[in-house]
This record gives sequence, C-alpha cells and structure tokens, in this order.
Amino acid sequence: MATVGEVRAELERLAEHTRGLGQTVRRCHSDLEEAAQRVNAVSVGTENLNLVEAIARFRAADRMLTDAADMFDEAADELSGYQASL
Amino acid sequence: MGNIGEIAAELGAAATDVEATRVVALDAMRDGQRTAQDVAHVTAGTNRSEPGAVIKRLHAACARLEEAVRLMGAGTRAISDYLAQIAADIGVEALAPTSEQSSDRGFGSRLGRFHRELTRRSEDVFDITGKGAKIIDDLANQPRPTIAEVRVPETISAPPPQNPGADQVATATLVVGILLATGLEKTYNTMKRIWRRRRRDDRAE
Repeated sequence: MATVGEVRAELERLAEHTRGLGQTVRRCHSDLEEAAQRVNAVSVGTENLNLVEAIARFRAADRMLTDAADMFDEAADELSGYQASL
Repeated sequence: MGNIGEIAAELGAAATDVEATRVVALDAMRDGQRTAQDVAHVTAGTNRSEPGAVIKRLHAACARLEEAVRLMGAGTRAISDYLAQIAADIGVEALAPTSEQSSDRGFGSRLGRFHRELTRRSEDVFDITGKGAKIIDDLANQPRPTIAEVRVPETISAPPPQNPGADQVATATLVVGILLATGLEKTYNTMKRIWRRRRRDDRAE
C-alpha cells in the first residue's frame, strides 16, 4: 500500500510527463505546418489534385495535433490539481 | 520552384519530414496511452472523480493523435501518387520501388537494380541535390529496418498503426523524386543533342 506522499510524488511525475507530451506534440505541429507550407509552395506551380489532397490532409492532421497538445496540457493541469488536493 | 526535378526533390524532402513527424506523433500517442494506464494504476481505489476525467482526457488526446498519424500517412501517399504519375509520364516508373513493394522481401534487390540503372543513366547528369547519390547508396547498401526497429519500443504492446507502410512510402517518395530529376535531365540532354544534330544537318543541306 503506497503512502499519500508516494502517491503525490507519482502523480506529480505523471503530470510533468504529460506536460512533456504536450510539448512534443506542439513540436510535431510546428514541423508538420512547415512541411505543409513547402508542399503548398510547390502545388501553386503544379496545381495538381494529389498535392491539394496532401495539403488538406496535412492541415487536418495539424488541427488534430493542436487539439491533442491542448488536451495533454489540460490533463497535466488536472493531475497537478488533484495531486495538490490530496 | 523551377523545373520538375526541383519540384520532385522538394516534395520528396517534405514527405520525408512529415514521415519523421508522424513517427514522433505515433510514439507520443503510445506514450499517452501508457500514461493513462499509469494514472489509473496510481489512483486505483479512490472515489474521487478527477482521475477518471484525466484518464478520459488522455485517451481523447491519443485518439486525436491517432487520427493525425492516419492523416499524415494519407498525405504522404498522395504526394507519392503524384510523383508516380510523373514517373509514368517519362517512362521510368518500372524501376522505382512502390509503397507496396517496400514491404516485400525483394525490396533491397529491386532498389539495388534501380541504383545500378540510375548510375548508368546518370553518367553525364549532375546530381540535383548534391546528396542524391549518397542517399541512393545508403538505401541500397544498408539493410532496410523493420517497422519494429524503427518505432516500436520493447515495452509497448499497442496494436500496429493503421498505415504501417507510410515510412516506406516516404522513402519511396524520396527515391522516386531523385529518379525523376535524373530522368528528366537525361531526357532534356538527349533532346538537346537531337536538336543540335538537326540544326547541323539543316546547315549542311
């Protein structure tokens, strides 16, 4: 049986880890956005439907990454709040 | 953006970057799933509502990541399709490894044949990126890593991704891009020689 102190320490570690996940996903968002811009710059010259589709997919993925990063941040805050309330 | 070779090279590079991002996102998704399990383990037995909400939010974040991974894979496949169209237009598609073939056992030997043919065709063609030959050498000479070697840590028992071939798609995209560049240069040089010869013939007449 873990003590309250041990549980709090573990919750704090998990909160920090979750914040790290949020940061990682935000970096993914930045990287994907940059790649999508490069493909977009090429597609202007070619006007190819495959490239238009690729850009649309990347932008949709980008929105998902942003949502995920926000959710990780919120989960981290909730974990910290719960840990502090124990 | 200049010629089709530069376009192909740029698209190949962008697709490779997206693939790297996809792998990171996939790892983050699995990490998030493990974190949710850890939270459930640490808070087991409590009658408070907060842990349940946190776990639910972590799972929702992982679901978003899973969808993002799927979309990134679809995007790189669309780029690969575009490059394949160009390869078909200039008649070199038979040599380029496809995303389906990338999971075959013969992928290495196919890539080797492609490499030899590329070298033969490129005798008088400059390398558009300055690194193309080295990339092809690396691809042809190194054993192709398996999906497990690339992105599945030992501790993970999550199901495989929905699009396990997407990293190979990016590699094939890059290879096709380089092939297109050299193929088009070769075509251009050949046409230039024909035009010069015709001009000489016309003058002689």
